Amino acid sequence: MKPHVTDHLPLSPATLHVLLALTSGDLHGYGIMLEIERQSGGTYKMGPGTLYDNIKKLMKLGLVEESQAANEDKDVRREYRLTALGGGVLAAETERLAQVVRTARRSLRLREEGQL
Amino acid sequence: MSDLRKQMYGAIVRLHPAEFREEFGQEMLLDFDEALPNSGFGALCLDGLISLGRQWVAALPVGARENSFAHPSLLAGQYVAISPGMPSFLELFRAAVLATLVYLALAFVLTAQHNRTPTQPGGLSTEPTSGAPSSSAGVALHHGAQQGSSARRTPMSSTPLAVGRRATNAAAQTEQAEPLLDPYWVASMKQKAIASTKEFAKTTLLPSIDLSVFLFLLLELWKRRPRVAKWVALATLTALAVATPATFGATHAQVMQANGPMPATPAPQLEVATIKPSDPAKQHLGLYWRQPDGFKLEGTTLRGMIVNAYGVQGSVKGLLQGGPAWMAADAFDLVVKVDPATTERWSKLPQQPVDEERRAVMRDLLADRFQLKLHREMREMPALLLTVGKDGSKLQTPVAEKSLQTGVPQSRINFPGRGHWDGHYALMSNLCRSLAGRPEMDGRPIVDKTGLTGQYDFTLRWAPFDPAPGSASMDSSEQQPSLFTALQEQLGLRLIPGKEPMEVLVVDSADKPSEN
Repeated sequence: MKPHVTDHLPLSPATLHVLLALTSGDLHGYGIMLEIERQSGGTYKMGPGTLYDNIKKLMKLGLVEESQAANEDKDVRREYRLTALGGGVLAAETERLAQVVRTARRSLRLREEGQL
Repeated sequence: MSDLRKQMYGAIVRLHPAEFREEFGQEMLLDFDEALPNSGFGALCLDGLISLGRQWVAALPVGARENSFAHPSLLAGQYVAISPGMPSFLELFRAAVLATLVYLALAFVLTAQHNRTPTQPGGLSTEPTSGAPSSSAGVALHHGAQQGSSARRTPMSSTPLAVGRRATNAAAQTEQAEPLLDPYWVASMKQKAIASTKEFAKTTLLPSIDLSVFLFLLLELWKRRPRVAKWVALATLTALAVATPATFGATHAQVMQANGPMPATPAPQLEVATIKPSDPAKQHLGLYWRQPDGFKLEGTTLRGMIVNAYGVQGSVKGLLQGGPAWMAADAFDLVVKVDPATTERWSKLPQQPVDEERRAVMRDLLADRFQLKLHREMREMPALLLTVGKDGSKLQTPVAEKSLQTGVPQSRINFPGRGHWDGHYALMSNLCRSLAGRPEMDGRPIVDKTGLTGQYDFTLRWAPFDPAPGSASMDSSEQQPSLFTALQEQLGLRLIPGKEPMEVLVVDSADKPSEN
């Protein structure tokens, strides 16, 4: 049975950041680390251990794959790219988080109004 | 410096499972080089170590989850996915390990607690905690038991013990600090602790785990296939109904067997047993030597031998009665050597059971060579009754000693100096036994009527009463109260004269020993 994107939700912060970093294109490990740091404004840094632990899981689930160019040349850093399924999962997670944010904002606003 | 740090990180990478290392190891090292200036060595190493743990857990057979999309928590990180399905094997394994650890911890605590109960012998002091005279190790033979002298005990076998006419010196020595630890007792307690833990695991822990796992699996089966589960439960109950009476019968038969003839512990075979009248110079020396292959007595009367062999509390008058006059007058030397097999067996045993076997040998020898015949009976005798004073007990709740090694007995009364006792986790039986050895008691037995069943700490200081004329103490202890007053003022306990039925050993007949 073909997996549905929502089967992978919710994502951990590390997984979310890795997928998000790969939306900017094919990246090698250190590139992903830098991109994560940039996207989070320096508030979230990831080390190689955590990165490849996530890459391994994501590759196993088919959300990330190795780019073909890297596979052909052993001297070049291995690069990773988002698969279609990965993109779908990221979009679904973003939508889920957006829903959470909307709900949270509404709840907080109602609470503030109740206090006034 | 950078090379060293890279080597250290490389070591962490190399410790990862081979599959992960081969796929990502090189990339990790390259990323480490690039990330080092910004991220810092410590953070990268910590990250590598966390990854190391994760990968090894995942590499374990029980840690490898299926590549199934039915487990969204694979990516969920700290999110907890609540799944109505069957828990994974990993979760079951974790639960089993945790449950086992909790069981073991409980077993350890219970065992340790059990081994601190009052039944343990007092290896730390001159007082046994059990109060059983027969368990005392290294008892001095009491030719002068009727003289009310104090018996000194020592856990070591090489020291001769003098009593009788040395009563005055012995009394002084009694109050000196004793060796703090009997290694034989510690070894014995270790063996007991291991044995009881094994017994607990065998009889309680493993069956409990088995039952829990069975019930859990049955419950899961019930959720999925109630009909099958019902049949399984019915079959199990039927099997239990059949097996329980059979098991009970078999166990009961085993117990009956166990209660029948005792398991065959080979009786010590004597190689040498010589008895001869003592040299006049050694008369009434009352020395008892433990030896690896037997024991030796010098200048000991038959009365002293009986006191030792039957565990009579020698400091109490009247517990050994009857017998011919020479029983307390004529002294003998006795040498007993057992066969090599017994010597070998004794060398592997703690001191206490070996002492008990030595006493058994001596009882046989007394019956054989002295034609000793005796019996036990209850007689009403003058005694001192230990009671709680009108203002209540002043004994203190024990304070745990953290510095002591595991297995060191806590229940004891230390004698740090003349007229000074320090009780720690002491029982009333300890106190009674210690008091009975004091000359102030005039050989009367002390009977516990306090009703206090706990263990207590206390400090008792008094002016020792020395019966020897001209030997009154000249130190500051003269300012202390008498023992009776000290008991009342410092411990809130009183000694009241009374009469109590006591078990008495009565010698019916004895002959002078036959030729060797």
